[in-house]
Amino acid sequence: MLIAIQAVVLFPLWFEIPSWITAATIGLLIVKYLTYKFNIKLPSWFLLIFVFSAFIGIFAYFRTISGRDAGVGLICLMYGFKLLESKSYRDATLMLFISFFIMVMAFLFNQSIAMGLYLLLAMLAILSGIVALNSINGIKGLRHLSKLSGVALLQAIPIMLVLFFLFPRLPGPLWAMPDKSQGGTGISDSMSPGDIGSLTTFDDPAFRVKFDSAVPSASEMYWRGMVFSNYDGFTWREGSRSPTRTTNIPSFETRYQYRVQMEPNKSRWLFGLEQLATAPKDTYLFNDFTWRRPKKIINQFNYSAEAVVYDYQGVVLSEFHRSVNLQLPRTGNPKSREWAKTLFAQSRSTEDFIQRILSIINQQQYHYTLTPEVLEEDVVDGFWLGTREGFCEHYAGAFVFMMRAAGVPARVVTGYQGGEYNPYGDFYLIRQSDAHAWTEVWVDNKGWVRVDPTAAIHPSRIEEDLRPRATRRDDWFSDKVVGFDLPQGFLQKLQMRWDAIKSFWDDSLMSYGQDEQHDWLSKLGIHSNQWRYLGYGLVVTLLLSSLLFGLWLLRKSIKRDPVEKYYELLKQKLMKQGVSIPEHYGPQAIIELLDKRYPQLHEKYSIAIKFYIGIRYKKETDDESWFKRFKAQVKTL
Amino acid sequence: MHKTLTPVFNQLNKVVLGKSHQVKLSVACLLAEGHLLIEDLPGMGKTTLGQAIAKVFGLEFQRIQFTSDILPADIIGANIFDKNDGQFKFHAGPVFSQLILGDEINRATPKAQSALLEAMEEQQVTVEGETFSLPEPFFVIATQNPSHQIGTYPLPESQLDRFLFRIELGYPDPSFERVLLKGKSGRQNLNTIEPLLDLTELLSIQEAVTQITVSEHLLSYVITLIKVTRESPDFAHGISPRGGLALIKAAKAWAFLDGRDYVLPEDIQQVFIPVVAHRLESSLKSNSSAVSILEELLAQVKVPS
Repeated sequence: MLIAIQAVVLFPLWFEIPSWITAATIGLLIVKYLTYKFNIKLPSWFLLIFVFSAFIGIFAYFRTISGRDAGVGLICLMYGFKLLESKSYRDATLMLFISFFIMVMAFLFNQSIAMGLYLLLAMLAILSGIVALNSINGIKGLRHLSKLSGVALLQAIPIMLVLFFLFPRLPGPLWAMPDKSQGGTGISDSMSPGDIGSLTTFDDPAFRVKFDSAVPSASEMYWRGMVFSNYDGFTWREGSRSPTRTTNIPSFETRYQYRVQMEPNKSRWLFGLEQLATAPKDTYLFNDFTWRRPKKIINQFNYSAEAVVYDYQGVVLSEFHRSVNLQLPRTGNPKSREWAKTLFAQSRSTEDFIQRILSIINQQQYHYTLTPEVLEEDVVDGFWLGTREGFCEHYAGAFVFMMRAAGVPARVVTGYQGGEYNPYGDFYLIRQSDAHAWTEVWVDNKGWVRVDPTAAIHPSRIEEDLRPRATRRDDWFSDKVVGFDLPQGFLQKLQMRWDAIKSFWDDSLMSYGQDEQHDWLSKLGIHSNQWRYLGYGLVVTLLLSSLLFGLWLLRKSIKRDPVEKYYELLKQKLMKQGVSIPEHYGPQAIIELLDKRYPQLHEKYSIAIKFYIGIRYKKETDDESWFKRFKAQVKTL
Repeated sequence: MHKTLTPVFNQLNKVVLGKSHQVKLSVACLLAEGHLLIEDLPGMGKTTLGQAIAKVFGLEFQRIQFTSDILPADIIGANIFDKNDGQFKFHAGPVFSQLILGDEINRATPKAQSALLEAMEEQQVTVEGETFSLPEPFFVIATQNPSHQIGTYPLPESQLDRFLFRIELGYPDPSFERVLLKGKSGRQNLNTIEPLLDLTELLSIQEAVTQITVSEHLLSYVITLIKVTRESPDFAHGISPRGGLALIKAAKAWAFLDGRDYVLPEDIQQVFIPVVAHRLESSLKSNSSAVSILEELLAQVKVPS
């Protein structure tokens, strides 16, 4: 039993810890099983050797024994050893209680709903273990055990809720998980396409949008965040920019109106549907058409805005802006520069040049992947003429580089692309994983034209699991785009529901931190969430709840047994019929009373009363089935 | 009604008119292997009932008339010198019989009373160091005159305890009295009674009675009743454990007579007063008799659901 529980508890961790530790813990379980089965006693020096070698192994592998990975690995091994040396009741109890702790370690790696559910199951298993260990009458089968422990789990829910809401929260995560080699999707204030080896997509919501006007198609939804015009050969950064004076803005007309509910992103920029012309309240509009808040957004923030179409007819790009958007480092990436100049010379116009590059991306072996090779020097050369694989940042960066090399003003725009409609909330959800980078190229009389080189990649060269997302993008080659969306209808609805549940899980449960706790308590009129007060509150609540629980238990023990309950019910029903039954009348006396004075009721009621007599006074009746029949009889009365 | 006993009751009711409840109690007493005390005025048919029971069950019957000068030897028997043999020989007294009718037991002196009562309890008598077993079954029906009558020695509580039931016959109903006065029943019918059961049948019935089921639930009712008598201010003391046992025994016999193999609270209620009333003494505070207090008490105690 303990072996099974340990296996259940360790299962999710096996995927996270180094494989040799996984193998070792499984090995320990098998050794325990064998020693148990063949009743072998392991000498304690033997175990000691193993424990020391485990320490050494962990240290050799991680170069430390603290920290998340090393710590978890070590604990897993020790957990296995503890089971190996367990023999008494005390050991078993200890094992089970340690299991609770070890179980929670799985949350260090994964906090999804599935994990939550799995751990609930694991908890049930551990509780069953405790129940089995402490049962006097022996185990009555697994169902009985899980029923008992399930009830215990349910009883613990109030305490669980209290602890969840009131347990003092730390300002920020308990442990940061800095990991250099991985990047996350999302928006940052710079872009260095070469140095990211693996991009992890986070499904956290970035913001939600409700449209007050007509809704653009998802492929048209480019949510502009920042513009990078400064390139140092490796990293793209925001260039020189200034808040606009309205006179600088060409004439425009409004196309869409919408409201945005923004998740706190701890930065100052806002996102808007292209093109941007006006700024939400207290927000600056810069002359590269980006928004900027005066302060970092740390709480959920709502704003409304509009998307416009500019009329660039006759508008000339100022010399200053032209130079800003043509800036390139003096050296580096010579091949690409040469390549771009050659191609531009062959092109008829700027637009033709753009089209040619896009065709090359579409028709040659350019791949879309979230795990490109890391490039050290001459990033654009390496990508464009070498690896030919990357994600939006690579494509956008390289595209702008070549535009500029050919003398066409261009810049990188980052933000989010797309949005998922939720019919249950009538909003579009934009996730961190929708983060995207595209480009703008200056075309005379047309102004800044959006070009999304990533969208030009042929669908067959997009990593399979990324296709649905990628194909949502602006399609320059729409005839070649294959749809990968789920079939309309049931499946999609199911997915939406799941999203709704998941967003509840993420938004309300996982992100419940100090600020949320403070908000929540303020609503209750408690304005301080200092540790001390929370501690007091917690203690008081727990005491009160245990008191209430105790009273409830007391009440329950006084509660009448079911036979009595239904017999009383039967008597009540009789009394409603006008029959007065003296207190000291036994069942037989009632039957006789009915027989003499209420013959019309006698037939109906005497059957039920006879069942009652059978249960209460007859010898060795099958009480369970008799009770069922008695109950059924009383119910029909 | 248990079917083998139906003719028995028919016969008895022919002799003792209009007293079917008392007749049933008397038979229940016999089946529960207890002794019966009938308390009533002279001439109410006590002796007739006793004789009828003896006849119908085919039991050996002896009647002892208790008087103020009766001696223990008159009841038990004595060693008498036999001239022919030249030695003392035990002459068994009337107590060596299966059914004894002890008439007007409270007229005798305590010494004579106790001779019978000891025999009842121990099912044996000892005369000059020699022990003689009494026959089986051994059933005593004693009658007594109400204790307020002149010339009575009331039985002490310890001896009353040995009777399972104490019943009162009471005056007959006018309709039965009419039949009685016409002279068409009573003792004349006594001679027509024939034994309907033999000894082995009686013993097997007695055995069957002990097998009757008493459920836990019923016991809790009995315990409540006992507790109430012990706590009641109307009694000097409550029902003794022996009294409790007697109650269960009697209720079993009653259930058997009703043709059931399990005891119901109603059985307890039916036998409660005959079993309990003579064992309890109403306290000085109380003016009412034990019987009426017990009736009240029965009506107050709720049968557990």
